[in-house]
Amino acid sequence: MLRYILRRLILTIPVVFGILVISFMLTRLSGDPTDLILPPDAPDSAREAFRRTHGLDQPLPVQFVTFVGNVARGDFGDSLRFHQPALDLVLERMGATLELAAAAMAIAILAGIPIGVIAAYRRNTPVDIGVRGVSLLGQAMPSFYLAILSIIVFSVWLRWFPSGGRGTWAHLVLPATTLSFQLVALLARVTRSCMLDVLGQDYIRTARAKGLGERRVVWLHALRNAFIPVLTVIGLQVGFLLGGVVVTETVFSWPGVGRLAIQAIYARDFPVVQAVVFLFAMIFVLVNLVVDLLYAAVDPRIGYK
Amino acid sequence: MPQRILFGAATAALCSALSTAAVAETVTIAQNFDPQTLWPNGTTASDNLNAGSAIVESLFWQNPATGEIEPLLAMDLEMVSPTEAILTLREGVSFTNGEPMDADAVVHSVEVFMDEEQAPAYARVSELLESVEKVDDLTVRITLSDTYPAFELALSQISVTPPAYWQEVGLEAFSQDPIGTGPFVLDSWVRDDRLTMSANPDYWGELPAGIDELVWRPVPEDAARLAGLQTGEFQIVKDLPVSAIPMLETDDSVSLVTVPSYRIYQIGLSSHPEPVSPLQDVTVRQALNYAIDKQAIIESLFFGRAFALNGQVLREPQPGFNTDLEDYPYDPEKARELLAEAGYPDGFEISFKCPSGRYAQDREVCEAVAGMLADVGVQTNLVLLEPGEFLRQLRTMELAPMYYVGLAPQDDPGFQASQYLSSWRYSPIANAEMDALIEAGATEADPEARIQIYKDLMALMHEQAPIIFLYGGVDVYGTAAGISNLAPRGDGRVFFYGVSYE
Amino acid sequence: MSIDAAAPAPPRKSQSNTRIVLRRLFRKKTVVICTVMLVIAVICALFPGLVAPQDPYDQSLLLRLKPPAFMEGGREGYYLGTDHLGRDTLSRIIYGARITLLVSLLAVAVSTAIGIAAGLAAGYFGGKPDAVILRLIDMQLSFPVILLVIAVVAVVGPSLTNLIIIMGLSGWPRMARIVRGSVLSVRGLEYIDAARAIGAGHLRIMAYHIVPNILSAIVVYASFELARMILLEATLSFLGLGVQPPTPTWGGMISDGRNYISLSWWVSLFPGLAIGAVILTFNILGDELRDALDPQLNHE
Repeated sequence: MLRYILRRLILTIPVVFGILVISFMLTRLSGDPTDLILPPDAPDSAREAFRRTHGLDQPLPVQFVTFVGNVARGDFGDSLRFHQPALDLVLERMGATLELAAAAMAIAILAGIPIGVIAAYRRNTPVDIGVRGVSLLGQAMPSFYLAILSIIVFSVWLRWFPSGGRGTWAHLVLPATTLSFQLVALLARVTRSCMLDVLGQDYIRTARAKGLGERRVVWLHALRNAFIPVLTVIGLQVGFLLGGVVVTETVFSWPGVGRLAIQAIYARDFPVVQAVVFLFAMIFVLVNLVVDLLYAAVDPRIGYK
Repeated sequence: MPQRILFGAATAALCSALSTAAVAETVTIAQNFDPQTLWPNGTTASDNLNAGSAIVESLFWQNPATGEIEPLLAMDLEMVSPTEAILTLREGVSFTNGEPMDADAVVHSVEVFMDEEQAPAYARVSELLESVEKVDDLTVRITLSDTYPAFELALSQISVTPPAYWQEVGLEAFSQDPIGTGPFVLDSWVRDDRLTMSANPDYWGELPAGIDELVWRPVPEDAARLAGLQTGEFQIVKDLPVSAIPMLETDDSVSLVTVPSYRIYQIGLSSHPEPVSPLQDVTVRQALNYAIDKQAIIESLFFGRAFALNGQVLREPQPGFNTDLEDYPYDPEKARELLAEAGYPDGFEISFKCPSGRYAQDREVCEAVAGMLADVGVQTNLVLLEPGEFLRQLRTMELAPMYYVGLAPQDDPGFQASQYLSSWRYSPIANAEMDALIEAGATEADPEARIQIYKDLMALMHEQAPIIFLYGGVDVYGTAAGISNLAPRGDGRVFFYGVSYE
Repeated sequence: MSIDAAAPAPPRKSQSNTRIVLRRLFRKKTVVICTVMLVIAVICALFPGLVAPQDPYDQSLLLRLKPPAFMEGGREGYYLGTDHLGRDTLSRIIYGARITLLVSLLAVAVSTAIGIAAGLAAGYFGGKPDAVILRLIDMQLSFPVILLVIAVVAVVGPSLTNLIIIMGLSGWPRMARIVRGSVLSVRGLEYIDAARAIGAGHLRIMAYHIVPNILSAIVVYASFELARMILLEATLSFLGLGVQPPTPTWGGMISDGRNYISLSWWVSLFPGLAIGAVILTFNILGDELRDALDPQLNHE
């Protein structure tokens, strides 16, 4: 087990390196940020000075080597706009983003899996159709539209929740629900689909034949076996969630990394973009390592070579 | 389970509503962006300046109510000669850390302002400032390298900082935790969330009545700023979407404050040798001006909340505004005739670049313009650019031949005019006659002569049509009932002098 | 999938099978309804000129934000009202079907093609190819898709081709992982070994013995991806990076209409309904197809 973890960690090294290369290339492709960061009437001498300070006058390979060397020491450079270490800027906002993503994931798991199981078990009954209809609607609407509608309905009309910002957990309800909506629908679908597979299998019939209670059969035996693809989807959707915060945070003025990232992309603030991409990638890699380990816990047939 | 969530949330929401009601003296302002810096000379972006200058004050300020430059930390300006100025400072003012606001502080502040490494954003404004020296504790001499008609405007932008604290922490730290003489002091700043200030009890002037706490909130989405105003979460909202005006006009709990903006919206028609385009022909440029129904854009897209330009880039209150000029009338027939005359009886095809999400209604304006041009045979290939890419292409001059842009230079005709000077890197035109007038105006000391120069320039520019003269913008602010005397300025600046809240 | 696992190479004679699947499918009312909706959308996409009452590009500022014809103040001929530039909403939805469906279908085609190839290779061969492909998948998956797409589109510009390629490239790793996982679950089964034992080549085994058995997973996922691509285009429009105006897409129309949502809701609502209906259709058909393809549900 420990060896497996170690091996997995070593295997992430090329992934991390690849991510560094891509994020470096991407940000450099988008042109010299000097013109964007300095005001239009800055004299040429100020432009030169800016390029020198930020190492933009060096050839690209040199910039890349410097970049990787610095990252190894945890230094992504200073934000071109904020003049603060990029990593600090990102970490400062990471709490807000993780809070939002975790809340959304919790809602998705707590709502999506039971919905999927019930839909599969009561297949083609009105319950199934109703549950599927509602969950499908969640996938059928662009999240920004859903977000704006929910602000109009729940904060302007009903005055139940604040329209944006972070603070009490009332602030969390609208953004987390909007962010989770598509995930709920996805998890419900995948769970239903996998449960249908499993419920038709021999051992379920055997279990039923043995006289085990329906509840036990469905929730324990069947769900456990349907769980692997569901788990895979959950792991994969961490990336989706971290991407989804870009829109959700913008609409709900949530002070997180997604908003910082989009501003940074627009302003060509390289160091910040790189720090965000890198940290998001790391979170994703770690979560999926955990998911892989969970596979074994759920399904003993899967071993670690 | 779902019921419990909802019930709990409703209670929590209720609690937060009650707690905000308990501290009625808090005023929350929603703007588009979180400030990057609170040092006013670190930036020219209004969202930054608004927050920063509630803490750090300047020597003078341009009062939006009167349009005049009025004393703030300086009491008086005397021009001993056209290039030598004596400033008398306000007595008995100190910074909130106890340092005195005196000649030493002002000399330090002006020196920082003049340093283009530290204050690159103001390099053009400080260009003609040569040196600064202390005369006595409350008197400072500033020497200019040439006559500078917009000198007072420059003085209104020099923010005064405490020298000892500045030395101690440096520019970067100062911009995150500034100390000034202003009506408010910084309490806390959660990036991208809320910036909280409290009233400065030792303020030298009169504090805004009824405001103990000022909270600045960055809210990028138009719909969310609007929603927060309607729910009472925000007392002052900057840049409301124009589409919300009809709805808010019927809402008693909210009032609208509209201010003609300094921003002049125009379509740049590059006549430079590169890239080659039909726009090099002045007849074509005039034809395009005839093809656009400016009034329809103002009435329909802006619900009348925009102003006609009268075919020039100076605004009516500015010296040099030419009353003889009028907008090119909307006349598609004439446009087609002129195009035929220029050798394009069937029109032509041209690329048209436009920002998406940078200005109010930018996409809509561009689509409307493209449609009107199509009516006279000019097929545009509309390219929408995200704000960052737009800015990049503007700065690298990749927008030509045709682009939509809103330019908001400082409130002096000299700055407005210099945007069409051939040596100015972003000018759409290179015209020797225009250059001569622009350069003459920049250093003309006699106000009357200067006005005449700019009048002539506007007439010439109208005829040369380096741009399609579209409209002047109007900034829309929303305030909660209870806020009075809020008078924002046309450059997006919001001041709290004289504002009250009950 | 293990019911007939003992039988080597389940006999899947395509002709008779297709008929069975289709018969099973169209027994259901939902499927019939969905198929009709899909056909309508496709007709709109193929022949918008025949269906649309107005020119979708014809703007008139005088006619802007007029409510639908069935409401007070509505204009005849503008059945679903007009948008902020006075263009007919219905006609723009009809013309929008073309670009919206085209972009999402092609993007899914790109991602599915790459995903199947990569997933098959990884799952079937295992070992080195698997390791390399897995690393590539991990690398791209760990990039937040939206940030990736935003960054690339911001750089290369939102032309139609660029959008399709970038959106397609953004989706392949998920498909590859689904395919790989499914392959793993059938790879070890006896009938594959049996096929190998009788000398079937790799390609033959993949094409005849593995793909048919994992097809349901692919179809379900592709239907889901179609929905996701439509939403992705909408999100890009929201960020100002979608298909260029004045070309109508449903996502772009919603995004444009969001500022008028309180007073002129029809500008964004109707394209929203169009997106909803099409996504619903794709998802339901995907589900039903999956059920119909599944041999274990024969007993129904």
